[in-house]
Amino acid sequence: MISADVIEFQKKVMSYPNTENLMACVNCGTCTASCPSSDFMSYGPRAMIRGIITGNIDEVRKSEDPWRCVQCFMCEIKCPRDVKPVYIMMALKEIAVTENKPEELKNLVRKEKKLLKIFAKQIKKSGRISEFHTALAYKGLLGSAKEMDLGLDLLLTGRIKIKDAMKYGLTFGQAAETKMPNPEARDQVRRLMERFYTFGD
Amino acid sequence: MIRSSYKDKIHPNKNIGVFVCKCGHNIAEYIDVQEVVDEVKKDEVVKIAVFDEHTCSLAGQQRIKDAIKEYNLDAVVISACSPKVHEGTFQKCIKEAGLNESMLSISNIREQCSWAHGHGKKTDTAPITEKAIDVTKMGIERAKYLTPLEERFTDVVTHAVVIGGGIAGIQAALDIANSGYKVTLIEREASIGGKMAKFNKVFPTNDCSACILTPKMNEVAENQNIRLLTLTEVLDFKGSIGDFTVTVNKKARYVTDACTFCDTCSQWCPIKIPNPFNMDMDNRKAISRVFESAVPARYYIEPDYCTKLLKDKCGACKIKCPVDAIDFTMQDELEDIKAGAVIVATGFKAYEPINELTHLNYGNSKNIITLLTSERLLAANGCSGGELWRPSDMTIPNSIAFVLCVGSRDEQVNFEACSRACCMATIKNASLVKERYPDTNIAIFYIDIRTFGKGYEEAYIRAQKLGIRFIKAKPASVRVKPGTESVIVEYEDFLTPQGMKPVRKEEFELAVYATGMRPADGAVELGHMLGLSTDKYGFFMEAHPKLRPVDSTVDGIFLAGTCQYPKDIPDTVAQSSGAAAKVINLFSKGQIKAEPAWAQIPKELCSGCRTCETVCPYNAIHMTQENGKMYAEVNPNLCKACGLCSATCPTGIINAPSYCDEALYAQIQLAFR
Amino acid sequence: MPKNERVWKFYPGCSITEGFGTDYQISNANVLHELNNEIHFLDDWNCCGAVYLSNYSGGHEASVALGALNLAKATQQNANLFVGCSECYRKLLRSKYFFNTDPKLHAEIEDFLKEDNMKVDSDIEIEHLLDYYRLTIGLDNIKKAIKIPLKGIRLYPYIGCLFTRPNSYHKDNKYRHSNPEHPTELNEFLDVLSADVTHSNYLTECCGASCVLTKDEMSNSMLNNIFSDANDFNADAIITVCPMCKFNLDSRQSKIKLKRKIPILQFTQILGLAMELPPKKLGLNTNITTIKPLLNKIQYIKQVQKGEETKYSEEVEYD
Repeated sequence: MISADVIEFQKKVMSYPNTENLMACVNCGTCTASCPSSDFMSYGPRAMIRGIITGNIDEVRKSEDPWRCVQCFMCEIKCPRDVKPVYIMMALKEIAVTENKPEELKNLVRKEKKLLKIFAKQIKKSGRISEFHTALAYKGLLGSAKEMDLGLDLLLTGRIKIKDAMKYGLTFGQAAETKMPNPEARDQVRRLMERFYTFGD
Repeated sequence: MIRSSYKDKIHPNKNIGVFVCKCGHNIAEYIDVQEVVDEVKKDEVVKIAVFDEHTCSLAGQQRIKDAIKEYNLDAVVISACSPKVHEGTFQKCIKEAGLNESMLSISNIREQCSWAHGHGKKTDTAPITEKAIDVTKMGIERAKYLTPLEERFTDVVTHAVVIGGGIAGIQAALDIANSGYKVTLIEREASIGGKMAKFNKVFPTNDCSACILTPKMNEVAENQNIRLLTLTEVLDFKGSIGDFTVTVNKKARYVTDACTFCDTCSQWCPIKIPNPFNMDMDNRKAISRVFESAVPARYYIEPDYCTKLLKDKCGACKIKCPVDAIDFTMQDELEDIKAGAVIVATGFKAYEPINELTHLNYGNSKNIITLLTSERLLAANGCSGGELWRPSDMTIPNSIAFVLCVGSRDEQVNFEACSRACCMATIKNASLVKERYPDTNIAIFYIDIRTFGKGYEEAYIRAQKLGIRFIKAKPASVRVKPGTESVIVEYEDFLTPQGMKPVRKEEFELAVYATGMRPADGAVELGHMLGLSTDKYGFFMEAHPKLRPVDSTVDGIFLAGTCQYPKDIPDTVAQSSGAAAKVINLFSKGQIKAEPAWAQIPKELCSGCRTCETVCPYNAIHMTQENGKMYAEVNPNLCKACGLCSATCPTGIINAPSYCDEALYAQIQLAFR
Repeated sequence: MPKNERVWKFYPGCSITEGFGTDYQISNANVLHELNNEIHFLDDWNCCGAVYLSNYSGGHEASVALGALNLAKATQQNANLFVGCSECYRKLLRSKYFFNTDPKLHAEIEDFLKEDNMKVDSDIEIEHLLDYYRLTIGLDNIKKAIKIPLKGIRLYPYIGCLFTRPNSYHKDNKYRHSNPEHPTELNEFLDVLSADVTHSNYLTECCGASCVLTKDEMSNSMLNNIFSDANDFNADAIITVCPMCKFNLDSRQSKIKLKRKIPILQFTQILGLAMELPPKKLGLNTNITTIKPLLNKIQYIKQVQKGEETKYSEEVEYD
């Protein structure tokens, strides 16, 4: 007997956009084999879908696999049943973040949230983002030091100017922020983010 | 005027019986039949109104017969399913009770009420019942004005036309011819044989395709009742059951009957062109035969390539021909063929994933071929002499990947259907290769193996025991390996045990795609010409998916083989024989019942304005002259009583019986009361 | 004003303007100048939301709104947009798609824009820079500007996953006709340069740029696939159309074990080389993986074509 939990979980997944063909999966494995990150997943998209259908929802809930999805949409264009596994992965991620919050994923969600926060903060503040700043702020000073060789490459090729680099280093990356020149337009983006962005705080 | 007086006209039928059908749950679930009966009883002409579980049952019919006698009914209203389904049943029923067949009016409360508004979902039944009452009452209004019509019969032309000369057409033509009727077999190519002639062996017994097909082809050539027209295409199509006219274009062959099939002309011909019979893998000449056992056994010239025909240069074949069989003056000929019945057997074409399913890289490597190409490579009369070459370097591959369900069961190419024959054809070819080269590494990638037929599962088991690997996976990509011309197949095997790596990349030296079946080129256009319905893929629709699988949606046209839906050879032959039996059935009666109703034009009132002549879709109206006065005359054999002429006649004199103006106005008035 | 009078404006995006993709913009500007085409930037453009504001975690509405704000600015400036970065391109198309198909979000965004007296024309055209070169400038005009036909240079096209997908966003996009997995646009472009375009088995696979910060081992494995395929085809260079692909492919070659390092160039940069622009004007001096072998080969071809007696030399001046 399949438990009521499982049916409820299936319905919940299928309530997200583009996931309505979930149960039509024929297990051909096209999605997993075409997935560029399936080597780093413990199950892969096909097995995740299979888990939802057969009722192994505990494993599905705890799995880190949805976070390994890079959203390249390759599975979507190949699936013979139009199941759109990429959207199912997104739905699972959303469910884990908003509802289940399993212990196992705590660290992962925290990391993800940190990055999202850096991003959202930048957009709110300046309307645009800077990749240098994001990288520095996310990795931290120690993390960035590990990427020293890359930094050196960037300096040597002139992609980062020496004086800028000094500035980045001294201000922990704050100086790398790119601002929209027009303050009014910047303010508009801030208002937009305040109104439409609800996550993370 | 007749039109203004309809209100005053008193309807002729005063005693009407109404019989409502519950049709099990089909009608009764959404329509309160008791309420329908109660409501229609209020009309004074309704002498009896009852409902039955199934009015079409023998008990239900008996009740109608009894009621006709008991109440002396003039006309009968059946409120049940579509007249398409049971009109004949009830006509016969009331005829046995002594009424004229035309005194029947059917109100469709199943397809048009319960199914349309209620089928499959829980809904309020009151509005559906209300509509059913209206529809039934309109039927009563029509019944009030019905008049008895005379039964008519027309003769059937006992000559059949079979379109398509593959195994389906051959079988159908032979069956009809052997029961003594004449058949014309029309084939587009230069020889009959179709796809089956290209096959090497046929499953499940792996017997030689040519060995079983060639005798049948020769039988066609020798049968006195069969007229074979090759290089012929259908241009136009007219008429109805029993009397069709098929206009065909017989293309010039440029080789006369004198041809002895000696091959001298082909050896001298300087023009080389790709040979489609061998999937363009080798060449033939501009004058050539299709294959060595072709029927008719005559060479033919490809006019698009022959320099004599194009630029009046060369003519070597004519000079060298020992029997002087070449005739460059031949012309295309048009011919009208009369036929009582037509069998459509246009077959299929193999799908090719060009610009679709690009992850399979078809066309980017010579070593990715279709199943049909592998048949030609394995066949002894193919370009490789029966060796399964790699097309790139003509070596025998050490590893072969067979990929199933390419272009079928795939929503990405909008073809959800199963092509049914590819699983077995793949198993057959894989087994043949494995038997011949036991060391070959063969993998078959499948979603589901469907071995449904007699002896098919046994062939599957045999293939597994031979050592062929069956892998439950649809390859996510088949990549071309540069330099080696090999392919790399990436897949995830569903059945890999937990803890092992399911996603694998494997290199194969040859990939064979089991591509699905699609309707043949031009089939859809032919369907339009013949008036056939097609499904979403372009296959012809049968009249009923379960009970009339060989009838098309047009009376007198029957379907055989893969033009209806993908099939294997046993199913195709069975359907062809079924279609032939239907034709023989029709011919043996000699006559068919014609529509008793036809438009009648009183010639003394006709002004000769010719309006009706222009609107008639069946060309049934022609102008005639009598005593210097023009008037319109209807050919009852062509008239379908559609009523267009009646509606457009400016003087309103044309009468379409069973749909007379009075009845129509009465029905309209009731519907919008 | 009638719609057909809209001008084409360039939406650069953060990566090209200030991030890792500056060389893309330098080469684009100089090549367009050479082709007598002036760039007009979209004034006051803002971030498109990038990869991180996505379908989940509350980012959906915000990212659609950010894109719609850009479209509103384009409406205000009476412009159609062409976009250099594939991610910005997808995000703007995505905003347009949801703005046109999700009535609830549509109403909310319109409500927000009303405060600033802005609105969005739902039929603004969004074009990728590659399509701008191919269609608006025209392949014929490009062909005329080429001075060194790159005969014999083996170029490996790599488009990346963002350019054609998801397919649904492209349905009403008239510039997108080819296949979502094997688009032919880049091949058509490179054919004009007379280069030997190799087959690409990983044409639209992901390069892992979006997960390079969080899960770099995944990115490395994806890059490995691409590089080994390019190496199998003996490619002289990999040609990209996205600043993030380019930076990822270029900068991480030292992190993974490769048989041979392969130069990475944007399509504008290889076009610039074929038009005989100095490498510095194309931002090629900021390439991390050395491009010297490629420049040498082009130099050699150039001398052969001009009929000069020469030997294949290893040393070439940068500008």
